[in-house]
Amino acid sequence: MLLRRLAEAHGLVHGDWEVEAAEDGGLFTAPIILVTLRGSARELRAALDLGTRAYVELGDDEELPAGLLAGLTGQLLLHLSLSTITSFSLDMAPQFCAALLARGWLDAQRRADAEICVHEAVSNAIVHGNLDIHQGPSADVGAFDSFFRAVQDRLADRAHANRRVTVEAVAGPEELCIRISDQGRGHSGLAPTSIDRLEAKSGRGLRIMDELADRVSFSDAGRTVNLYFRR
Amino acid sequence: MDYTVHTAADGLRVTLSGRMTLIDHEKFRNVVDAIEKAEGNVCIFDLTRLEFVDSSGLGMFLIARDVALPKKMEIELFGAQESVKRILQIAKFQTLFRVTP
Repeated sequence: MLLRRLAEAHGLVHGDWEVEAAEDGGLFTAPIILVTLRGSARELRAALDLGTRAYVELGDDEELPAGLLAGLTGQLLLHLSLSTITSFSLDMAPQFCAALLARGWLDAQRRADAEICVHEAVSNAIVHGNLDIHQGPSADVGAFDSFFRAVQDRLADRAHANRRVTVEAVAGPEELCIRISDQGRGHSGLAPTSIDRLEAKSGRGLRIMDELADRVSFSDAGRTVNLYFRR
Repeated sequence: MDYTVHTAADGLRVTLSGRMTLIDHEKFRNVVDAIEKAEGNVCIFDLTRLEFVDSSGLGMFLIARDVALPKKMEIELFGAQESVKRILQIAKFQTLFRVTP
C-alpha cells in the first residue's frame, strides 16, 4: 500500500510501477520502475536482469525527491537511487555495468574501465559527499584505522546514512554518460591528477577515473561526477 | 575479499582473492598485523585470484609497505590479472613495489 500511495503521489499510473514479487523475494516481470523499501544486492540483480530501468530505494524516510519517479521512464535511461548505508554495503558497480553491457550501451572491452570508474565515483559520493569526510586516510596505520572508524561512525548516524546516492546512465548515439550524484556539500572543482606523493594513501580515485573514462566532468557544484564512454 | 597468510622461510605469503575495496579494511588489518609480527625479508602478495582492486585497496597495500619497510622486508605483488595490473600501473606501483608477472 505504501508503494501504491507513493506512485499515486508522484503521478504514476499503475502500469509504470507494477512490482511483481513472489513470497520468496523473486521477481518475475520487469517493472519499469522498482521502488523498494530497503535495497538488496539480490533484488537489484534480479531487477536489472529483467530489464528494469529504475531501481529506487525508499529507505527509512519513506520520502522521495519531488518529481523523481516521473522522470525515470526514458527508454535509454538506467537509474539507481539508494541510501548511503545501502550503497556502502551493496557493491553496485559490477551489477550496474553488467546491465549496461546487457543493454548494448557499453562495449565489452570497456566494461572493466567503466566498472572501476563507477566504483570510485560511488565511493567518493559515499565517503566525501554524503558522509562528509573530506580527509582520506593519510600518514600511517593509525590514521588509516581512524579513517575507517569515522566512516563507520557516520554510517551509524541516520541523517548521514539516509542521504541518497544516485547512479544514472544515459545512452546517447555516440557516447554513454554515467552520472553519480550525492547529497553532500559538493566541492569547487578537483584536479583529477593531483596526488602529492606516490606513497599517499588516498586521492587516487579521481586519477583512475580521469585515466580510464574518455571524459570526466563535474556538475551541481561538485555533487555530480559525469563519466563519458564512447560507444 | 578473502585472504590467507602463510609463513615461509624467507617471510610471508599472502593470497588475496575476490574484490578488494573499502569494506575490506578490517580483513586487511589482519594481514598488516601478520606483517608486523613476521620475520624474514619478503612478503609476497599472490594476486592471481584477485579480481578487482580500488583506490582504497591501493592505500591498504601502501600501509603494508609502510609496516614492512622499517623491518627491511620487501613487498612483492605477484601475478596480478590484467584489470588489476592496469590499476597498479595507473598508481605507478611498479616504482614502489616489486611487481612480478
